[in-house]
Amino acid sequence: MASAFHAVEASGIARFMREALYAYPAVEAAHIAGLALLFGSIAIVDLRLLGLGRRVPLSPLIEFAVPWSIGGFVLAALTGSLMLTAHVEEFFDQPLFWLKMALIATAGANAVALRRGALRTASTVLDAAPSARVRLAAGLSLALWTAVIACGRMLAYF
Amino acid sequence: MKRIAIVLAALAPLTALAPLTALAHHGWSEYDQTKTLTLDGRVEEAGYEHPHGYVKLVAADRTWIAVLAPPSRMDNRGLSKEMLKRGASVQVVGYQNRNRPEEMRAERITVGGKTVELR
Repeated sequence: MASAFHAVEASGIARFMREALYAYPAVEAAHIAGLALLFGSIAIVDLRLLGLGRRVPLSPLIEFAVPWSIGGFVLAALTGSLMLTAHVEEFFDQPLFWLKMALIATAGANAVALRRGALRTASTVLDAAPSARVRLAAGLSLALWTAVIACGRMLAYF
Repeated sequence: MKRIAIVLAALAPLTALAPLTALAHHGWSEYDQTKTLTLDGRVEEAGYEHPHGYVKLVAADRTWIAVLAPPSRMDNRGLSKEMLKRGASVQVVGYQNRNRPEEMRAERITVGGKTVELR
């Protein structure tokens, strides 16, 4: 396993991430843009699901916002993977890194469950009053993504 | 008001992370700032790399890992990659890591008669 990490760390892309003067900060900036897009768009949906801003119809909001959330996630995941290559072993040794991955997996599962489940209710019903289950999932989503951001930030400090 | 309370409740788990900040790596407390170390030595290995550079420094008592700054900052302040080559004589001033006694965080480094602030 350790030799696999070393192979990644010795690769051209990993060396580029470590040694190019401005690659790492540039990728970091793109990572932040990705998570800002993800969190910003999904937070607006979550707040609406919690019952705020009921004058905004839910279905078009979800249709418009969620693809941007997914796009933001993809950008964050790609840039995150690039930073990971630079020091795979150090990251894998950090409990915080695994906590962050587990939180992302949980947030993803929560989103999929919400979309396949409670959100399939007729939009007129949803618009009037999201069910307790929907509100719980929305609150969970906000909490999980916030915790993911906190973990990511804390990783730089350990 | 009730909804705002719900939103705040959703964000509450964040406060659980607050104590972690006290252990912050770059955030100083992991390094013992009550005692300033000055080490003279020879560079055995140097990493001019992100997220922060380092030198393996053979000093009188032991071989230290001195954590430096991101290469972009070092370059900006006139500390080039070439100056940190193997065999170079350097002096670092900084603080020892409480948990990894062979590691120190350098506040400044002097190499080839030039002193560069790293923070």
